[in-house]
Amino acid sequence: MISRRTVLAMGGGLSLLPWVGRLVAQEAKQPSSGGVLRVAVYDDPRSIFSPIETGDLELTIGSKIFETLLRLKADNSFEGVLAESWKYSPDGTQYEFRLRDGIHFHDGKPLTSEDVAFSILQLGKKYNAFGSTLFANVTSADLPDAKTVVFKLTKPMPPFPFLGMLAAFGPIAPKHLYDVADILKNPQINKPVGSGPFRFKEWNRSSSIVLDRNPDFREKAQPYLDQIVFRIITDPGARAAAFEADEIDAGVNSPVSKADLKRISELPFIAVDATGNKATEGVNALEVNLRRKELSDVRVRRAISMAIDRAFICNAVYSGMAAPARGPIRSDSFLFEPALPELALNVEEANKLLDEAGYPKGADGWRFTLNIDPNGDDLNVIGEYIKQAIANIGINGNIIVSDYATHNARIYTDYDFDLSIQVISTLVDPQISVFDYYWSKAISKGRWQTNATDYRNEEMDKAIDVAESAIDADQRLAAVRQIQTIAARDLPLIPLVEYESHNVFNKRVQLGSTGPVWPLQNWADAWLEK
Amino acid sequence: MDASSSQAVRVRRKTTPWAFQVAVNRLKQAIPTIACVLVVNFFLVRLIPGDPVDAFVAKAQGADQAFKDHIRHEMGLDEPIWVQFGIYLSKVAHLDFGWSFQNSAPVLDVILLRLWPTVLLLVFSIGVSLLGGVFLGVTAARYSQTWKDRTIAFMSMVLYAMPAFWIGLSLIVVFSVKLRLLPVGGFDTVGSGKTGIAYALDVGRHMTLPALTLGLFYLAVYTRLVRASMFELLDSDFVRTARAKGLSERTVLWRHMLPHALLPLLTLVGVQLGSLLSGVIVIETVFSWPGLGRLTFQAALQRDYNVLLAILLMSTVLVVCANLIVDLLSAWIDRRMDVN
Repeated sequence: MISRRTVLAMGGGLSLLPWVGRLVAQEAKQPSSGGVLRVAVYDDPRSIFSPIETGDLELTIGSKIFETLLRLKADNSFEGVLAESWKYSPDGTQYEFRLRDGIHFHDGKPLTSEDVAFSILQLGKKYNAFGSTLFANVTSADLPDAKTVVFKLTKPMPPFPFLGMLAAFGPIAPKHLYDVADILKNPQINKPVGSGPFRFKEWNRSSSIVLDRNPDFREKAQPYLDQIVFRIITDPGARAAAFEADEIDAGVNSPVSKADLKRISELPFIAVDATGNKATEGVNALEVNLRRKELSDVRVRRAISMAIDRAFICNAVYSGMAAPARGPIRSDSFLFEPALPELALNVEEANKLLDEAGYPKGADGWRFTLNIDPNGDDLNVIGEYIKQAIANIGINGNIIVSDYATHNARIYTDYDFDLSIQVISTLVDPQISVFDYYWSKAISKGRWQTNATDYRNEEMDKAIDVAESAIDADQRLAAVRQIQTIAARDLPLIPLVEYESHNVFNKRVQLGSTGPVWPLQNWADAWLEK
Repeated sequence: MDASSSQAVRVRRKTTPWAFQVAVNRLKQAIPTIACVLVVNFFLVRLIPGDPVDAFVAKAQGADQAFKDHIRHEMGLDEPIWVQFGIYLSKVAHLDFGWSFQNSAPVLDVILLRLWPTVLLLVFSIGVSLLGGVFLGVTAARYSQTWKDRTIAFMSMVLYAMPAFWIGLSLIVVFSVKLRLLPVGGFDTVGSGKTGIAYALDVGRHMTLPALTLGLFYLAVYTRLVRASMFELLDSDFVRTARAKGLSERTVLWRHMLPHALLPLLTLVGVQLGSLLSGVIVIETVFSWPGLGRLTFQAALQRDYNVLLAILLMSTVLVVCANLIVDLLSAWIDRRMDVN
């Protein structure tokens, strides 16, 4: 569950393993109503009030109650959910959304443009942990009528990242219920009322969360399910057993461990899907602290990169469910730069580079010592391998394992690290979460998942500026590709592998409309075969 | 004869005020203990590396600085530590344990909800293991050095050596996955709408495997202890006397020897009560049991100071009470004991 905190990614891409099935190609069957969908989740969410949350767990559960304006489809186009249509000004500073007719909240009140503006500008911008960054350029909204909202941006933003951001982090909540003082401490946070196909029923802490069918949903026949029960099962072994014992119908974001997956997928009633979850995939990389003298030399960084056998990590750590990475953007993304070189293993050349850089082996056989900080789960296993790999080129590795909070404080607040192993996830678009690792303006003490390496390069900054504001798709693509080329040359982050995550289902589950972010869809058209 | 019977009369006469006295004395001792724990815990949890605000935003993949400052203020962590301590003491005095940001709920609600599943689990598993342990231990002593004794000794050694999570997962594989007799985990069947006896049975079904897993470990410990204590007594004078009187072996074992063997057992139970919370973490995790152990672990990882402090305080009070009960029981079993 390496990627459990990551939310969105995109692109098609085929599964890397033949036995990981695909649910997209199901023949069309007539949906039948009724039944309870039992979904395994790995922990209690912090809250179910998804308009202020960014965690995958909170959004997975909340997205059935609170809907977004639009959703992302497998072909990287958007489909309206609450919005009927949308358009943007040619300069990319105004985005207009027209809402569908007849949308009501669970309490019967209509959903209006005022609720949309409130959810983004008040809730999202203020209480969403990323809000002030995500929505930094969104400063005001015009409401010409109850069905139209026009967001005004202070700086142009390309349509794909902007719409993608709203699809992931823009659930809409009723203003008349949540316009309260400090929502984080207000009991109202535990009474989620949205417009979605399911209504909140109960949250038995550490045990289950139950959502009931919303009988007044705008699509008359939908939702097909009577109830969704999220069962909180912390132990991955117990989740696997629950699938085997038919006590669970679905699990998202790699619900069973890689070790159990093959066995579970061979059960006749289980299907494993690797497409509906492109959402949670990313690239694992080493963040390199350039403040350290040895590491500020690009030859040393190249040598470390050459010492790593990426195919070995794919097989040993990910049981084949990963591929060697070439850059910070996944190779199945339409923004990927295909000209990037493969990062091959070459110990001899690496040793030569280190000698050239002026770090000969000492009497004890070591050139110098580096701390390795892996960020939990699979990354800890990768850490063990990196230690062995760099030992081959005379670098002594010292692994420092700490829990999530401590790790991130070491890397992003104290900058007390040499090599940190991190998941670089693409949240819809690299603009939201990837560029910050390379941008000198994103060096910001205390902010996680930004530039902790102290990499500063004018050429890179310029390319990022263009990519973040170019409205023309081709111009933007060229800039994003340039970013990848410079990143591969300078290696402030050393890419390791692109991993694959999966959703597991009982075969009676019919997904309805699929997409690369299936866990965050509202599941109105999901149903159970009798 | 005379002396011993008069002593027995004296003790019996003193019984009621004596138990009361012990309780009062113990509570007097408990107050400074609890006060110490209160102070030490407050500073101890703040010594854990890692910032609660960082841990809070971890669920949201981090956050920007303005948001973190806002949260720090909301949590009251921007005050000097002595001010925080003062606020904490005055709140505890009013039985106000604060708000848990990680759970979006008042701390007391969060804890009370988890308390009862854990108590239920513990009462059953310890009850079963005590009864089973005494029975097996006595049986082993009765048939010492025969195949029965050796089987019991071997089995208890094996159970003692096996890690609890492994026993738990094995039981799940056998009883839930293969035989499909019992549920994999959870507290009850969600949305079954059962009430009364049907609901109790449902919870019972869910509790069987976790209680068994936890119980088996303690069963092994108690069996070995009772067996060893009984062995020590086999050659003692009072046992020989009892046998010489012509008492049946059963009476000798259960009426004469067992009460002596129970004392070390009770002491051990008393000691173990203190470590129970850590013991249930694994079981609760494997069986998705919504209890205090998991909450404690979660709160520690999340640096949820409010929840952590409240749990530590509560478990201190519980341990003090449990030890008082154990002391009273020991004194009741062996009147010679001076519990004061």
